[in-house]
Amino acid sequence: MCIESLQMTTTHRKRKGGRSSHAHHHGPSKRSKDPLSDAYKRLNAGQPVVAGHAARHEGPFESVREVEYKGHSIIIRTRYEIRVDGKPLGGHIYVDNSGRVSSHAMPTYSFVSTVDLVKKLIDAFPANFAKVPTQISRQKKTGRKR
Amino acid sequence: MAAIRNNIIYDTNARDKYIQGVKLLKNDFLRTGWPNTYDIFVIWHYNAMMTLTPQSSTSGRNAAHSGPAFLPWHRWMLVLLEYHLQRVLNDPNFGLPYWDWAADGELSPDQQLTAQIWADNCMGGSGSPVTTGPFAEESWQVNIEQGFAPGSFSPILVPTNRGLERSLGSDVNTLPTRSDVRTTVHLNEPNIVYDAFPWNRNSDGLRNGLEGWPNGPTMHNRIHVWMGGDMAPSTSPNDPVFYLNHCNVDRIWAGWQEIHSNPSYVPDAQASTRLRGHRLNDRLYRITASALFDPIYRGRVRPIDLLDISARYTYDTFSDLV
Repeated sequence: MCIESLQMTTTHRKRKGGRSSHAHHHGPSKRSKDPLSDAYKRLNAGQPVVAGHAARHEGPFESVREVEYKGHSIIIRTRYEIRVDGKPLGGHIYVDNSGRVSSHAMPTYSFVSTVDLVKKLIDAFPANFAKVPTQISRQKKTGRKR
Repeated sequence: MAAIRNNIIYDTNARDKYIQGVKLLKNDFLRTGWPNTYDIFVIWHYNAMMTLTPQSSTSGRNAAHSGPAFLPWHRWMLVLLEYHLQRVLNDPNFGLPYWDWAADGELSPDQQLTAQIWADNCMGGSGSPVTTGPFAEESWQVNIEQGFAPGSFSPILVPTNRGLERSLGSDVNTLPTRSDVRTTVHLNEPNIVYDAFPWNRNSDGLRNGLEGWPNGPTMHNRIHVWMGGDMAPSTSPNDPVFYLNHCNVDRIWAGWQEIHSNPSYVPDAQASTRLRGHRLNDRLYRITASALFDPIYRGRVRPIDLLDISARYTYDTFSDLV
């Protein structure tokens, strides 16, 4: 699936070889004159649109809590590394001061546990977690032999 | 003349015009090559949510949520939708109706599922897809939905062509109550504040309480969670109830302003640049440069421009807030 950033909030460009990167990391790129039209064109062509931080999901994400307490400044950094069916699952997770976690994937939900968050994502978006059938199970289903 | 925004249950004229108006916007095109006017708001909302403020934010604060701009940004969104509804309805006095969800929150969980708002002549009911009311599958199509990039749960927009989905009462089984609303309106009394450091989901003040993060989901957040379906992801404006919810949230903010003699909006213009997009004189996040905007604000809107809305609209009542 080819994904390209909608150039409204961050500029985004393609590297040689097709892997996407962000302009604020790799230099300036040209902004679209009509990003809404660009987005619509992509959607009409059956292609996805991604904006802003949604394009930056590589590696574990760090959530930072900042608290002032009795004149002290407290900073707590939390990193998550999630795997589902052995595959890494990237994305931003935010922890609030009560320890509840949330994500822009379900932007008004919060959970007492990251386990509950991932379970909810699997429930709400099952197609994104569909298991690719193995060769053996495909053979069983179709009855074909190699 | 300022529009009057009424309770959708009691103002059947506003209810019917709202239903008619959003359907007209689904077939209204402001510019060749743009999505229909209704769907522009869906994309705008998604983009605002994906715009972290600042870009390096690790707290979830974005251009329209989890930060001080939550209330003014959505107020602007409502003003703009109302403007376009007035245009397609050819009724310059049309006022958006609101859903007083706390009234339903006083009912039992079972009664909440069959409250008047979900009647066939109002918003229709639950289902995947919804099969009753004016937004049943044959008369309301969702064209853009949230998906994920491969190997990630970072939201992306993908095209679709399906009916509206709702799952009322599934993820939480009760709506906020009158008591919840009054507690929020009087948060931190007598030291009433609009918002506070760290200006995110951990803040004291009206904004965070009304958005619904503390002990959440509560208030605004709880409506999205209670409804589920298309109200759950970043593309939640796909469901016309989105605006009825936010109109009630805006009413509670307006009532709070009146009850407490208009407390100051914070952060002020001199606050840290890390709060850009949320400060009193900062421009609110917008999706495009022209055509979408009304002739008064013309797309250049700051929180300070939205603190006194009396020239544009008023609400029928705040009596339930005190």
